[in-house]
Amino acid sequence: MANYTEDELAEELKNQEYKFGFVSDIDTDTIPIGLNEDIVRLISSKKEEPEWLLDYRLNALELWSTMNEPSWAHVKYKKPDFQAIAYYSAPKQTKKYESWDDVDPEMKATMTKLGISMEEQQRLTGVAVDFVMDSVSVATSFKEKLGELGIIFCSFSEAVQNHPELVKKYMGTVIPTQDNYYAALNAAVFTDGSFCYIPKGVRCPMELSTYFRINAGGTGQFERTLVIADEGSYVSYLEGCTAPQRDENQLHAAVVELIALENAEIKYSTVQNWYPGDKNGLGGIFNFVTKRGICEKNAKISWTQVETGSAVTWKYPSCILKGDNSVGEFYSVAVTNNYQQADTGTKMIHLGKNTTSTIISKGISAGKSQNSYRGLVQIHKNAHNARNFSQCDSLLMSSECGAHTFPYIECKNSSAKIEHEATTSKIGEDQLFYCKQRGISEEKAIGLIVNGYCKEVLNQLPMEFAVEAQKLLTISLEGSVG
Amino acid sequence: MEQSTKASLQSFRSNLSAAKLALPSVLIANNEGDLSLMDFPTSRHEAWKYTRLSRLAKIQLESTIAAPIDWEDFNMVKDAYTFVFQNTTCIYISNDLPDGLSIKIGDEIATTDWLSSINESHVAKLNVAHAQNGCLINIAKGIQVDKPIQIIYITDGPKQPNFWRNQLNIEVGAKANIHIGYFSKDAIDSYSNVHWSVFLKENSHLIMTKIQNDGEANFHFSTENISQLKDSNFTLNTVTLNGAFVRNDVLVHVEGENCETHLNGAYIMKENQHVDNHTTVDHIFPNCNSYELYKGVMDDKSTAVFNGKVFVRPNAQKINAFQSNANVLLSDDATINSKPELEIYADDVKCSHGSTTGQLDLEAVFYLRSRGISETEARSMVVAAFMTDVLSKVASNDLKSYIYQQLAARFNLHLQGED
Repeated sequence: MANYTEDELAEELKNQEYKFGFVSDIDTDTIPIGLNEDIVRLISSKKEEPEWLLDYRLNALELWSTMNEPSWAHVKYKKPDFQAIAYYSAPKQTKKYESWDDVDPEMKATMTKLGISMEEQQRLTGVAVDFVMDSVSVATSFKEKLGELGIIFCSFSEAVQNHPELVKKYMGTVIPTQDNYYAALNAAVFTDGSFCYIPKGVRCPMELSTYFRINAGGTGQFERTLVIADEGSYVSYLEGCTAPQRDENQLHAAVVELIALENAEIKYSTVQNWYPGDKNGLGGIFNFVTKRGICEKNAKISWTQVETGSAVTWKYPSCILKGDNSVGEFYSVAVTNNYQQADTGTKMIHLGKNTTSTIISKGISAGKSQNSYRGLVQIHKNAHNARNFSQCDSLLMSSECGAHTFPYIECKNSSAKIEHEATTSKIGEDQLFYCKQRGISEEKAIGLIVNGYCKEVLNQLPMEFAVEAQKLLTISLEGSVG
Repeated sequence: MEQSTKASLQSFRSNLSAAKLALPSVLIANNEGDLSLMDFPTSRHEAWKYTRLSRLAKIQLESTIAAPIDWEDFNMVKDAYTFVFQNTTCIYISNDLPDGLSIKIGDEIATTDWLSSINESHVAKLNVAHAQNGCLINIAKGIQVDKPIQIIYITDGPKQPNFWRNQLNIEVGAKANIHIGYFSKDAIDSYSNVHWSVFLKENSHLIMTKIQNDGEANFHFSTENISQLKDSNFTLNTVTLNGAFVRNDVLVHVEGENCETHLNGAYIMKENQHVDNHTTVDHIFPNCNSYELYKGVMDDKSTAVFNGKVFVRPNAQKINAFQSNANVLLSDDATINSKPELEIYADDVKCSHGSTTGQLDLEAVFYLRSRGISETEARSMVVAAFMTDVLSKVASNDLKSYIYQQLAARFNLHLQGED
């Protein structure tokens, strides 16, 4: 290993295969493929939804049919055939589990392989997990404990049944149906997702977590997540995604809306490890996600993401800083390998006075992948004393990959201060040399440098996730992380 | 909708005369066909996102014959080889050109002299379709021109359309310093469209400084297409002092190893001015350096756009590309839209960009005030200090003093020469 070089690392990266590529043999209830009004009605009736939600879906379908697929992102892919997708796939036994023991052992095994053994998590970490397998939430833990504090944490469909007033009030307020092509598609066909409400002044005592996994072939996953933090509350929310290995490209078009009312704080962390396709660029998930949060006065939203998966990623977790003194943060590590393509970044819309935003984006591209940062910092006319700091670094690990930066900075207020900086380079030979002359092997040195490079972002992740994120980095860039 | 905008470009062109320059067929081929399918770009076009052309589209241009003027009023530097264009007529040529510097004007330029320089934007295509006059400057092999070459363009009269097309050939080992000035007189709703094709051969050296000092109601579009061969060194300084609407498109193709490229820009604006700087540096070959520094100050309701793009093509290794854009807004009605971009397809590179937007350093203003300097004076001193580094990139001292003089007159900014 002493002569381990970056070329060898690149070679290993090329040969790296997806470790979560297994298919769970669970009976699923899938509706016919295609997208039309009948399908939307079918999804809605299967989920026993109220009339207003059906109308919302039908309206979205109508809007969607008039929209065009966006083509501005720096990614190339074959457009998905929206009529060839089954829009609903649920594990067959949809009855509610009385206890953890009732859960299908096969499904438990799946979770164990994912490394989120639920028993373990329940016992050791105190993380409440809302586990979504192919669109329907199958187990939710720690519900009672949260219930005592008045925290609602359940699947989206349960929320529609049990808390329709909250869903109706907030759904679509941050991301309107017509926002973009995939948000409209999601609004029409979303199957499930998570819902979370933190009452006034409550500090959620544990991290809430959802694990998404696309299992059945030929299905799309369309979740909708709605997190509402009422005045003065705090919540840290974790989302993780994996998908088994499949040859055709699967579509994932989620919508995540965060609402931070006055003095509230939401911390939203994602580890995304959808199947990236094999080393020839075959298969993989298309990840077209719309995530956005709105901050009222003195509120704070912090997005942290570690993106290692998906064949094509198109994702811009954003903050609308509406209230005075509100804070938006975005921390991201995006790793692309083989033929993966990622176009990701954030939007910080400063509307209120004294609003602050921080953007730290770290891209790592290897193999033949393309990794782009695309961001918008917009200071509106009345956003006095707005402050933004952006840093976007890219690390290139092979001569055939690409790293791109497309920041948009729009300022209409003279008291605003905006800083943006970006660098693109490979691991410095001087840095490697420095490590090596202190007796650190080349492989370890590369690991050390990559780890240090991502540290600013990884430090933002909650403890349980940081471990997993580091594991994922190891898998995605195996051989490099020491 | 689509139809009506196309109609607007066609109606905008209806009074314009066809190109008078003998352009080669490679340029003309498809140009008319392409234009007939084009319309004025809207904000949906990425390159025109922040620059609206709807006001321009409504103007009906009409070429008129201007009365003779004294071009000395527009002279920037005394000691130079000078040419002056009043609208599309060349009204002055220095008669003491040295050996090795040859200049052809208008119909003296043969079709075969023009080298291919294709640019897909509607501005460049309009230029091909309507080019009226221009110059072809050739600096022979190994020649170092002793004095700067100065070209002055004056847009004279209202609604005047001016299409100039120029070419610069810097032969192997040659060296030149060119000052270009754009001015206007009584130009209300006038339109000038100037295109420069610049070819730097091996080991050549060129400094081009553009002073844009148009009138307050003039539309000015400037396109520079630059091709650099091995070991060449190119500097472009763009200084925008005045003009209602200014758009600069700079496209540098670095087509050889060991090249150096410097792009500097300064824009100081007030009232309703709009300045849009689009630059692209395309690194096709390895072992090159490029540096870009654009700085601007916006007052009143002025708006500025900066879009800088650095391309590093596959296998163009060992590229160092640095790009920086800094802006100061002096008023809440002023706007800046900045978009520094990097598109990198090679790994052994060092590329960075930075963009800052802010207000004047109030502590610095306070420091000056506490020493008895008036608020206005203090502010203008801080603005002057902010602009000094980019303006000091203008190599010629004569030209620098001209710029400082203009800044003092128009903005009450007093900068000191450093020599």
